[in-house]
Amino acid sequence: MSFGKVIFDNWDLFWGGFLTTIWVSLCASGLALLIGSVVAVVRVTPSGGLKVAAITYTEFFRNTPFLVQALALYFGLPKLGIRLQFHLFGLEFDQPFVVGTLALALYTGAYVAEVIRSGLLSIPVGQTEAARSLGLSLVQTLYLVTLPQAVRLVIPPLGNLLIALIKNSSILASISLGELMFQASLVNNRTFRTFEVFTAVILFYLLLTLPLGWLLARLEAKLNPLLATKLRLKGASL
Amino acid sequence: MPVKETTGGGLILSRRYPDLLSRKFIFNAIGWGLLLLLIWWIAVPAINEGNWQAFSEWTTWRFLLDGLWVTVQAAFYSIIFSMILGVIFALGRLSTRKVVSIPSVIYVELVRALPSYLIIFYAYIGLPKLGIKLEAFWFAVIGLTIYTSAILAEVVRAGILSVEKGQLEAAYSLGLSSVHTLAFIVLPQALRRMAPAIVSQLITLTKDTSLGYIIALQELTRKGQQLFQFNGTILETMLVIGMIYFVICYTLALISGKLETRGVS
Repeated sequence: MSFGKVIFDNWDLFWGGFLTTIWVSLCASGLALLIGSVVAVVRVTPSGGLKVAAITYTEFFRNTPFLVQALALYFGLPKLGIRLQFHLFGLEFDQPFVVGTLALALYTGAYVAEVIRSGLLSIPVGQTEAARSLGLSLVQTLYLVTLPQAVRLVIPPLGNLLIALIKNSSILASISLGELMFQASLVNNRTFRTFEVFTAVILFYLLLTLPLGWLLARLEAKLNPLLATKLRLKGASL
Repeated sequence: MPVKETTGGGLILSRRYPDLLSRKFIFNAIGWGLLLLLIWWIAVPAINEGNWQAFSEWTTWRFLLDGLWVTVQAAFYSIIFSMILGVIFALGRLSTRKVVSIPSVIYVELVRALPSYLIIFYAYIGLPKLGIKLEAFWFAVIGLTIYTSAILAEVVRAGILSVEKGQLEAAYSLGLSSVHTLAFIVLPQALRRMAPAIVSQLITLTKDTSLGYIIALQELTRKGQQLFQFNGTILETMLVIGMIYFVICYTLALISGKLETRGVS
């Protein structure tokens, strides 16, 4: 059996897995952006208790392996009596998918928070002071002055996080989410052509991450190259 | 009546009860409430059911510490090997000879684009095909080394490029050969500057050793999984495992932060 035959005989499995990888990455990255922004904003505003909660969250999720978090959520949530599966707009979201998305979003969200926070902090204090003395409220200052400047600094590292998220989604195979890696294992169990199957998986991942990386590099060069390299954004590598 | 802010922030605001409903008070309450809720949610049912029993016995800890030792060893070997490979590929990429630079670029870019999970698994299934038979531990180390070396190659390359040109010119005009310049002038400075980044890569690496799980390496995560499958205390076990990883990685993060501030001043 040749390489091509192994792949095309099991094309639906590969393609389904590929689509699931994209779908879970999209959902998780949206959620991660949301979590990250909220946590980052909480960390730059003066507020004691909420700040402690935010710091606890980012430090804990950044300093434990994603696999441990995913396993803990997948096996732990049912223990707490929480079953996350639902139907929405005619789409079915099963337990592995919901838990996988949540785990991926929580893990990446912690990094997103750090990136956004260092983006916000990189804006000189004078800007905030000027805005405040012009009578803008805290929210207005963030929204009208700080954020628009921070966004262009933050986009390149966020792109890196998106690529890392796509790569990390492969780990969700171990909580039986039917993404690329998981489907490949199925094909492997069926055909025993391990080498061919996982070479195909490599190609699929390259198809996703290489173009994204290329786009990102171009974007990075376009958005204020000097500042972007000067800024040392903590936690940008996963 | 609309609330007008004149001084101070005021996200959630009420002028009527300035003390009780001040912004800080509310945020504090929400924050501590969230934390307490989480602790209560996880810890209290666990204590009530006596699930922490297993962790009062030495054998449990012994079982987990065996796993931790494998994790630490895997991280140690991987970081050493990937430092060496990383420097080689960084130099390769900066080389003026295309025969050297092009393969280095391809290696670094391809490996960086792939999940470490896939690389470890691929090493595990691929190398035996080439007639290389090893323990699972070494397959994990090889997989992690391949991945981390590509990342470190980029880190080291950035470090080398950050060394000022004047340093090179000075070294050459003092009569040092290019190899000597590299070994005694450029690399020491580059590595010192990149120390924080290298330590934070070590954090990632330590976390990635958990992926040895999939090739049935008996490291910390796999041991934890065996433990909770054995006695059914998933949350407690994962919390303990998580805390062990946390202590290691957070210590490294603190070291990385220290190195960074020292480098700046």
